[in-house]
Amino acid sequence: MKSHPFTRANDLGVAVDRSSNGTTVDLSPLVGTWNSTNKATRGIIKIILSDHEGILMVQSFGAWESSSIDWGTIHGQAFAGNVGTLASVGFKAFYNFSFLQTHVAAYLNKRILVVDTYNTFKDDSERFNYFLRDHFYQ
Amino acid sequence: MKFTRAEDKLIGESGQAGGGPVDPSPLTGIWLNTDKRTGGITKLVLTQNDGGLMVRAFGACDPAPCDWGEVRGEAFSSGVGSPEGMAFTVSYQFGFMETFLAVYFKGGILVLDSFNTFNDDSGRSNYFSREFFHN
Repeated sequence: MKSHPFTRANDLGVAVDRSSNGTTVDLSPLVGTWNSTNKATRGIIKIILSDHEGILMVQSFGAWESSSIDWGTIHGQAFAGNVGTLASVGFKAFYNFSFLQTHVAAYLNKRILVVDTYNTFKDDSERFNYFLRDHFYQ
Repeated sequence: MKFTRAEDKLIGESGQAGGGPVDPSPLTGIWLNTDKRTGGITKLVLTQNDGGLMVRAFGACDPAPCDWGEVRGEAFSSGVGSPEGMAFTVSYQFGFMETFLAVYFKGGILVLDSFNTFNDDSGRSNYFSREFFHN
């Protein structure tokens, strides 16, 4: 049996048989429109996740006064629960705005999508880089 | 000033200059996985260097943990007006795989989310894991 490099025990295990499925993680558990559980959130109010030819697409909307700010649609990357499964349980994405960079790190907890953002300002606005967590349902 | 969401807005006048590096000192220390039998990360050593955060992670390997080495992380606070670190991100590039760690502090515990991408032809799925640490 071929041995693979690893960084920890969780890297090892039986790889998925991809002969009939290709190499991509199954996006279906993530795909859909996710709305914040907090109607008064000051963070992300909605996320739309879609599957474009096997690639995860992420469109986020930031809460702003009585409406929202469309952050646009970007590629995301989906992740399975372990090396030997295909069903997606989480994803990450990276928004690069002119004045701010936002790492989106998200995972499923039962039927809730938990989304953490790590936000780095690139301007001289005297704002500290910050972390924010939001929860979403379908 | 530009915004992506309401949380980007500074509320009120702090009376002092804001912005600049987030203080990582609330995060520093040796953090041990709450699961002594974890197959993931067993320990995190967080230190401060030149005002920035340094991260050293150890993976569960046999007979001894795998030392991932020390890399620079980025600290984050709880809001645009706060300088106190309560979260961080760090990336490890191992060649055959990349690991992105997204970590935050809550209730005396560090919660770590890892996003692991394989760059080899091993057929392993890119995977996510979540772990908890105490100091």
